Amino acid sequence: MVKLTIDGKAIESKEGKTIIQAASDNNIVIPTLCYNEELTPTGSCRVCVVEVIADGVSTLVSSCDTPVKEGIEVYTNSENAIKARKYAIQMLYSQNSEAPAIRALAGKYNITEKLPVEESECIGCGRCYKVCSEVVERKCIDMSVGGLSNMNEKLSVKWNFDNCIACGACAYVCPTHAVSIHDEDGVRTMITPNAKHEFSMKKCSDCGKYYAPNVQIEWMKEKTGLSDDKFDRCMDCR
Amino acid sequence: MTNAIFSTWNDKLLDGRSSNTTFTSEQVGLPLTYAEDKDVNAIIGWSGIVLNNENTNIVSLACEYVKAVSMITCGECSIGFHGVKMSEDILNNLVQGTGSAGDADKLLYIIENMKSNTKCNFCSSAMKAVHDCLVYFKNDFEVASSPHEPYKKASVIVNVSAPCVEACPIHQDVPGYINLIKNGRYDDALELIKRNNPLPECSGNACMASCERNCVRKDIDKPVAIRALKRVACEYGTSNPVEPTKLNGEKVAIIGAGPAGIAAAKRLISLGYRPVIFEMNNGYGGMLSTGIPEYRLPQEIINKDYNEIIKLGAEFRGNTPISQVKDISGAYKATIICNGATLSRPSNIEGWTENDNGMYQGIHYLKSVYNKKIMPVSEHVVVVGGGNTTIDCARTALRQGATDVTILYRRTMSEMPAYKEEIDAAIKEGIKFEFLTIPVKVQRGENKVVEVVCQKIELGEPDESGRPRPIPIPGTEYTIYCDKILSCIGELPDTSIYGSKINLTDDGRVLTDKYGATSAKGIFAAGDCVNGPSSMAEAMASGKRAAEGVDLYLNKNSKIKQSKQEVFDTYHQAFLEKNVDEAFNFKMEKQESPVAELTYIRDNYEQVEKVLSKEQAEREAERCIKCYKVMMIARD
Ligand code: SF4
Ligand code: SF4
Ligand code: SF4
Ligand code: FES
Repeated sequence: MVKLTIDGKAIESKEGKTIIQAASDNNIVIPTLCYNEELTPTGSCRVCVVEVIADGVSTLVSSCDTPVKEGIEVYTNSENAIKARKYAIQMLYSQNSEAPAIRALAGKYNITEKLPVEESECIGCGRCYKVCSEVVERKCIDMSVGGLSNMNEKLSVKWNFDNCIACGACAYVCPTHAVSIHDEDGVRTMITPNAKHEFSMKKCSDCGKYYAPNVQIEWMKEKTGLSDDKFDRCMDCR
Repeated sequence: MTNAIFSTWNDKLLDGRSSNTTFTSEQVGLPLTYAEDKDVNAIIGWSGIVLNNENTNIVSLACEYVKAVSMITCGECSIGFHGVKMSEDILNNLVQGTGSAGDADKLLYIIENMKSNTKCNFCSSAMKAVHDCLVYFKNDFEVASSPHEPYKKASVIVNVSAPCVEACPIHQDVPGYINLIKNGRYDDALELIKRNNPLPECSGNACMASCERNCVRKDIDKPVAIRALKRVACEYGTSNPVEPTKLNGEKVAIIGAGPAGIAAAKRLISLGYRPVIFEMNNGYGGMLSTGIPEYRLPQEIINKDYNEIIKLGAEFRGNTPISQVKDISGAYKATIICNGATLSRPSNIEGWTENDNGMYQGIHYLKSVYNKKIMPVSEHVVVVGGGNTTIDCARTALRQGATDVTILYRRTMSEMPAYKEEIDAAIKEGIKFEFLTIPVKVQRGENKVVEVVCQKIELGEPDESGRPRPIPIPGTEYTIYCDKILSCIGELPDTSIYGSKINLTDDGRVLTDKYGATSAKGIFAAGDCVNGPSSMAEAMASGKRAAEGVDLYLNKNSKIKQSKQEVFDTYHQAFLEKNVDEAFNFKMEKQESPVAELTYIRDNYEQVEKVLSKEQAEREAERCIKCYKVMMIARD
């Protein structure tokens, strides 16, 4: 066990936990945006920033991807933490002032002024990337970034639809709805920040309703090893 | 001697502007000139700003610098990415004379916020220097914000590197290809690796990986598996098929097809020359094939890399030993000697007779095994030394049927220059080590070696190499029974082919300038014959440099940027330093390469290390924290 304090409260936490986990175990809420409990943290939005004093030295860290350490003092609402958090929210708000999740944060912290940055629905939080590689295990999404040899595009999420099973997990986790799925006339359309793709869907052999994209059913067959007839009806008729 | 008038480097504020004081390079902590005497006006980089010339335009300097930073910023957090972009825009306006009052304050607001809350250290530390400019040269920014004629663009040299990249002799963009692997982009990763690595397969399999020894992650948990990830890119990636290049340039002779020779050839092709490689062995690889055992680097892997360069346009003449350089150099405008270090240093063990039955120099032993001139026998083997050749010899001896193998090394395990993984593998295969021990005498029985007399050592003060000097302890002699003794104490080039015009160093290596030029006109040298026995990567770097030397020599309009190289060399040490705050980095488990379970070892040359799976590779790639650093030098 690791002993630390959060906002003056003495806390014990398991080694390997993050500061945000330790806080939430003790009913201390830290605002977040890119963080999702089911995924490993991306640490990209910086909203969860807190002030940490370790060995007398104060630093600001993102609480979602920083492990607890023996003896540290964490302040979730110190002046420095609030200042940094406000800027992080201002940055998000400047890119996308429509998304409800961002509006809520901006409202709470009184952010109205925007920074001169390009507006875009996608704020590069990386959740879609994480869910697709960690949960769905398809790795369709590319978040390669800058570097020495300029081989990488900047700040972009790119879909490789050859791998995609149109499950929609990415749309589900996206905090800004920059990814979405729409089913119509036997076609599932996936809209991503820079591309659109259509997937044909399978008809239920009983009721005739389109119920899932073909690629997804193929994938389920492969995963489960069950025969074709286990997958030819929709949820309702099964 | 240039001195600095102002510096914030390494968090040390030195300000001599009002008192007219200047500071030396030692005080600043950075070289202030490059190539011995060329002046630098200003240095700006990850640790601050240094000013040597008070007339430097700070605003235009900061602007150029942020442009460079903006090429690298990754976009994993918007605060860093957009922060750099916004700063670039503001600075650009200030330089163009289109800025407005309050710009300096806006810039300060953005940068102060970046300093405290970015995902990694790159943007925040890179922008610290601009912060310093704003704080200490406030007036310059205010002046710039009122309308004016555009400022003159500073003449600058930018270098981007990372501690791992800097430690790699060929400067592979390590974080770059690792990030591509993380995203499953194996083809691109391989393309990127090939940009400055002529032998991706060979180095992915058997590079000494000096990068890993300087990986920042090492201070957090364990270094990133940089070499194994390169092998991953070769294994799962396909790069564009090579097409023979149209070459109209001069023919250039290369003596020796080792890593230096082939790297020189590839660079020459890219510069338009037609390289002709003379090789004494039949096949490709030089020391890579005769000096690195098959279980580490199979010949077919070497062939893959070589075939590509041959296809690009290098001519290969195998089985063609050159007895005198001048025999061929006359027919070519330029010649690059890459004949390696293939002769052994004389052994000072009493009773040692060169290549006598049972006594071998390590590299000759490996070569004889490679050429199948030594057949497996059950016997006791002693190997002397502590480098990679020693371990290679010991593990090869085991495969040659030795019942037991003992390594004698005069220092301790932690001083062994051999690759850590190799030492571990040797231990696992049952090789014994006798540390702090030297052989003093070989005893012969009838027609063969029977035992070796050893003596214990104690370690004294560090010698020139920085390692403790070994001192024999009198009266500690003892004997080890053995049938064969292999000595691996370093190699020298075969100087007999050089003739009288090529000057040598005192210890018998070829003397060259930085671009491999020897004292003989039109004759260059690269690799182990210049540097003494060193790694594959060093040989490649040296070969490449010599090819550039040839271009500088033959081509009046050469595009080789010498001053850029001089600047890179000057600040090499600063780039090598690791300065990432590891306090809050998560430990992440390193993915180890799978190894073959050898059910028998005699005559088994199966490659021991296997390639990481894609899943392992992508997980391992997540461990890299992208420690890029940018530095910019302004001249006039
Ligand atoms: S819909 Fe496609 S991209 Fe999105 S999570 Fe599923 S498989 Fe991945
Ligand atoms: S598409 Fe959505 S989930 Fe994916 S990076 Fe952009 S904002 Fe995040
Ligand atoms: S963590 Fe990555 S960038 Fe940093 S030194 Fe290691 S390999 Fe290089
Ligand atoms: S919630 Fe921690 S960085 Fe986004």
